Amino acid sequence: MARIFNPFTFILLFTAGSATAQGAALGGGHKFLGDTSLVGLSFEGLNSAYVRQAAREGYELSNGAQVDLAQWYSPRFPNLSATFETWLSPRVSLLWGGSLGEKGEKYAIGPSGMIGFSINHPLGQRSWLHLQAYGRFGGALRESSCVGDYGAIGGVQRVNCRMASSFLPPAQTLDYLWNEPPVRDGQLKLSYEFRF
Amino acid sequence: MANLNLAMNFGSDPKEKPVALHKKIIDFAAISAAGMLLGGCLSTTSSMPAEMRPWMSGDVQTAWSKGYQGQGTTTTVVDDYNAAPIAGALGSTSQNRPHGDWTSTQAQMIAPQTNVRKIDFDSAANSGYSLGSGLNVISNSYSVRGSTSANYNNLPVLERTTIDHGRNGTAVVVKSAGNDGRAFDSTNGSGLKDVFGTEMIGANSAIFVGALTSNGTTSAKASMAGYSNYAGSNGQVQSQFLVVGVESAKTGLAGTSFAVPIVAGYAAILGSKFTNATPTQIARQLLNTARTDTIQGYSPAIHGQGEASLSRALAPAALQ
Repeated sequence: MARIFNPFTFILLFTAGSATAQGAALGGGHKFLGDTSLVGLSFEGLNSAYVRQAAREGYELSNGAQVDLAQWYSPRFPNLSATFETWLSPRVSLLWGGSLGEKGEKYAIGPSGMIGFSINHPLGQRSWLHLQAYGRFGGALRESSCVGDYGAIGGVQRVNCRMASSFLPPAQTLDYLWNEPPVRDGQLKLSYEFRF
Repeated sequence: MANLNLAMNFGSDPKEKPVALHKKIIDFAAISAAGMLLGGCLSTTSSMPAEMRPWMSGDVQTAWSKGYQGQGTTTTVVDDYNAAPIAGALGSTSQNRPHGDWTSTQAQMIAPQTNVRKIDFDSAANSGYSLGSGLNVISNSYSVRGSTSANYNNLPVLERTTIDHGRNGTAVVVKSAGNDGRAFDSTNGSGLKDVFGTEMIGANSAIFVGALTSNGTTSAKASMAGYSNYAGSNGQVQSQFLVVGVESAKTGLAGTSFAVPIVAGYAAILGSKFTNATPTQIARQLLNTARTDTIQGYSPAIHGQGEASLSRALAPAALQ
């Protein structure tokens, strides 16, 4: 599985319009605890996308019966992810949150966290510079194998569930089991806002 | 005295020359040959780039995408490499090539990494041949016709060698059904039977291949090509009989000749996945996993086990 490790992506974003750019990346928030707002809530955590893709796939057994990978690659409880923003001053806020992780019959994703900050600096009456940075960690992905019965031609063998009908010998498919270490990446974003 | 001739199994033009003793007939409807014959009988090509063509089943693309293209196997294509060139287009351009060139190229296109060996059926008629490395597949797109009394002992050494490999289970032997539009084990209009083919009825690792007019799907079922011989009422033949699509409209090539290399390529691909499987197990896997739901009016007496399905042959029977 190819995973993009993105230590620090630098984005210079110019926006012009009446809408505020604050919170554009993380969404508008709802203040619920003093100066803290919930700015993001989803059922997707780190590495969840790989699993969701696998759950949409399937193939036929040798007798034509359909194998639906969703049975093994759907979480028992979705990976609940939340992001909060705590305002430390009118111009500086702390971004923090994480996900609980998820587990299906053939995989598990560990919990993950994120922490960062956001700074808004006015350049004039109608223009601002926004700096946002955050880091993410955790979300290790592990996958377990299936047992495939290939009958007389191949016997009973451990095999990667997703690749049991591929052209790879069953033993070789085990090399492609997900075994993703915890993620450590982050993002740095600089944006300019002009209101008119 | 037994009377034999060889026939290449081209499809829509199942013309046969007047039967001559020990004359072979390719089973096609268009042919070609550029085999550089080593020692008068053999040449090899080890690989070619994988290129999906419209005449191939979608299964093949799936196979290649996983990187398995028949590596570690040997496919021996016994054919006529000196026949008059035939016009066809397996690739993007039309060419004129001898029958053996078309069939050997077709086998290599299906399983690009198999080691293809070419044996000319006339030059090597009186000599046997040894097997290559890994799983061996022998592709035979021709018939040897003879009188009803002709048998194994009347055949040239070359065909007896091939039959032995099928009977002994030392190679997957894939044989064209023929283009008379009759039951495989019956006589043609001239009262001749395919001695080469019928001597492999009951052979452990031999497969007979007929032609559908297209690659079948459940939504667009395929029909038997009118020229193709069919399985017939013999239960043993039915158990060894497969069909595949020969998309003549896309290649200009018709005949059970061009069904054989497809199945031979499938066998090679299977051999690259199940590296410890015997030729008999490979042959049985292809036969046992053939589809019947992609064929219009499927009948064992016509289509045998059904349409060869590479994806099903590669899949497990059960998974947990």
